[in-house]
Amino acid sequence: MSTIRWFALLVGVALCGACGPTIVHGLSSDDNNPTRLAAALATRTEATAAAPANRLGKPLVFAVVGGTPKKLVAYDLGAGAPLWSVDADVSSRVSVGGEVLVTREGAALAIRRVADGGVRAQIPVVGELVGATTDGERVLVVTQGEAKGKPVWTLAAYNLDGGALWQNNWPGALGAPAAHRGLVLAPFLKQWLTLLDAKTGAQLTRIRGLDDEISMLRVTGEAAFFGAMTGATRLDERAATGSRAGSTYGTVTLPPALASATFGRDHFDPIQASYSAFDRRRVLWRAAPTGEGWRFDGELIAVHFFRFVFGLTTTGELRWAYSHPRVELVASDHAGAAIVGVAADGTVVALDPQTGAVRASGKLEVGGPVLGATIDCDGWTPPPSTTTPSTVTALATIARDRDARFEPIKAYAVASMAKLEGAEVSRDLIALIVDPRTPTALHDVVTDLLIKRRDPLGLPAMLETLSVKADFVAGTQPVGIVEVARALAALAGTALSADDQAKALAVLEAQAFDPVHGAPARLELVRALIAIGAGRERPILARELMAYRADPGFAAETDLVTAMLAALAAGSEQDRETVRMIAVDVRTTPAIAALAQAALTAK
Amino acid sequence: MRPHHLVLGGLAVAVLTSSALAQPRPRPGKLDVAKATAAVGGGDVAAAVAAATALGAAKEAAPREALLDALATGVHPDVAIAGLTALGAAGAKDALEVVPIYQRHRNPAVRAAAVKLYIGLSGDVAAIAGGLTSFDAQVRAVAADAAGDRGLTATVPALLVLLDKGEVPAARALGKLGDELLFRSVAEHFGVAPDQAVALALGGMLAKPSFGPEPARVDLVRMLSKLSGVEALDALEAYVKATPANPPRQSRREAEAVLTARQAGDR
Repeated sequence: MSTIRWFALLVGVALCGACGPTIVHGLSSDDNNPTRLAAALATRTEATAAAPANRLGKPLVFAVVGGTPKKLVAYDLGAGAPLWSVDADVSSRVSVGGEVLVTREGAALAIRRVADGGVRAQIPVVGELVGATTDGERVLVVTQGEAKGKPVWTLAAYNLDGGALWQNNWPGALGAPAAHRGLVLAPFLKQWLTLLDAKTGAQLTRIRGLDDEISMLRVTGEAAFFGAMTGATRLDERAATGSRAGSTYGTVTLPPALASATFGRDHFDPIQASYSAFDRRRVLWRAAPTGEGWRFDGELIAVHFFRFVFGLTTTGELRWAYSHPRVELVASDHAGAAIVGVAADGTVVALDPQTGAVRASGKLEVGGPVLGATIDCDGWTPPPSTTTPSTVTALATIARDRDARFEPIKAYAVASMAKLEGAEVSRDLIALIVDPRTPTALHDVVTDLLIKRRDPLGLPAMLETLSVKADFVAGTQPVGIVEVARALAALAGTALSADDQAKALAVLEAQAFDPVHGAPARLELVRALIAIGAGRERPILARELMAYRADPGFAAETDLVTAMLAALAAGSEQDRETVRMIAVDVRTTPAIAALAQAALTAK
Repeated sequence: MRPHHLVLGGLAVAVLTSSALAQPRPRPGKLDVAKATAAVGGGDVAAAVAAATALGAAKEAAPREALLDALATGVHPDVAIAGLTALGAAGAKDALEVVPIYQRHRNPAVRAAAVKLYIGLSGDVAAIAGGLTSFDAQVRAVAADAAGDRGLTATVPALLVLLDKGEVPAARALGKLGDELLFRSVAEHFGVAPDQAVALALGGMLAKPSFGPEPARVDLVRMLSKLSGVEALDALEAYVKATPANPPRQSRREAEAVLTARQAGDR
């Protein structure tokens, strides 16, 4: 656009804004009026079944791609193919509705055609842009400016050719607007949700949040929801109460590690006016658009946390997990039949909300990193997955992730994994224990969980770990001996078969007295030997005690000697005779003799 | 049956005492077996060490029996080392009965003595190979020495790994095992293994009259000349000294030339 045309457009917009209908809102109003809310809701256009907002009716992803120049890319999820790609210096979210999409590009809002990405019109941004959206018929823009030395927030509507329709001025902070079936939803001062007629800008009613601030909006073709970062209220007649209890309100209990995920973006936060890291920590949810009470779809929600997606019950219990390979998911949305995520490398993945199975995947062939994306695929139903995902594998992958930012998430993954059943769980936990790259804090958590599991199915994995032979030439030696020995000891009293016990004893005997191990490992191995042996280990203990009773080095390991003597003293008369002999024979070191005497006395 | 099979419970006590009582009365000029037996089973470690040495070195079976009884029922590590060493020197095959428990003794010196004794008495190749994989340097040294002394070429791969780690006993063993083919293998470790270890291995090969034909010796000398450290020069020096000037040999001449050149500079 030439400078002259640009200047003419700017002047035109300013003049139209000046001469058009301008409503000035105040702080006082008739809040939480059920009659007026019912009337306002009655003006809504007919609800549409879950469907994309774009006029093409296709499930689309609009991705902003970094690089020089930046690109705006449209991708057809249904076809698994790109729709178009244009150079566009987009610095905002992409809002889509009907035939257009709206983006901020430089000092103006661009109204682009969904069909080919071309610019249909531009709207200069006067002041600071808070947010913009479109309902397919008009573009709704909130900006912050100044009038008479005071800040003023303006909500303005334009037609799809950039012509001004109406504008409202507000004396306090106005959040980014949302369009909902002929209404404009405008959060005001985080305390109110104002409902306006999209055609005229007239205020229809206002809801005042009594329990929560109002900073989040979620709109589908069927329903609108509003609330704070940790819960949502459905926009229905009950919302006039303004309270959680009186409204159709829903929230979930998130595990602490995921608690920073939010129900939606903060419409007041200028950072979230464009794509940001907040889009990578999101509660992905969908609720019934009508009906009594609040119901999450399938009674499940999901939490997108950077590279990971967790399927949770509304009480925060894990149902499934998904770990995206290598790169972060920069955008995500719950489309009903699929949870759709877009990764920084352009990968698009659709997960089954009930199982986490990958139902579809694709790739935006982009020349740079995907900075963010708007997913417009409401109601899209990709083909069902043919594979059954392994939650254990996904959790283990998360736990083994090398990214140091995710330590609490890894601990959460491990804790979740430990609650699952199956031999592979213990194997994966042990893999984390023996991995030298596992951070210490996580290592300790995993060890604790493995011990507390007391899962006999984990025995083979434990014995494999303990059976690794120390070989200086091959450079091998058992790792995680202390931890696994403790876990093995914890299996005492569980349903181990006689055969399993015998195998465990053989492995423990071989390792417990291998000089390659340090004192802590020896102690835990012997403790495990005693716990698992249940008496059958006593001949082994007697042999070792006799061999080492004169060794000052052995005597220095007081805990080890005490444990061995106690176990032997608890045995048969013959075992006790051995302890007595150790206690009195002159060859026995005084320290061991004293411990032997103590063991006899204790018995 | 050796007492170490009977160490459990009261039997252990019985065995301990019966060995001592069974000793004959001492004769003048001979080992006082009864006294030594009492000492090796007593609480005085120094006396027990001396007694173990004496009993283990005895030609007769009876004194050794006393030592073996003591070893079977647990002794101080110093006593074990002394006894096992003495038994090895005496070539007492009956010691094989008590050795196993000491081969995996927690004290590395005891372990090394036991492994040495066991290998010496049994010639067990598997034990030698196993000893090379030990995490204890003393045990590896014993095994490497045995491998070299017994010409166990099957241990070469493990010895080469140890060579890369700079282990001197392994280098010496390779030197003893060396032929032209092994020289080529060791030469491939130049730059990977420390020069000193490679020099020791090659030096050992060069010192062997049976090493190989003159061209291979020349190559070996040239290889040694590339290595840093005194070990390479010592090997060349020893070779020059041990090899007569006549008939003239190119390998000797080149070794001399290297030594002369190095003498002019810094060894």
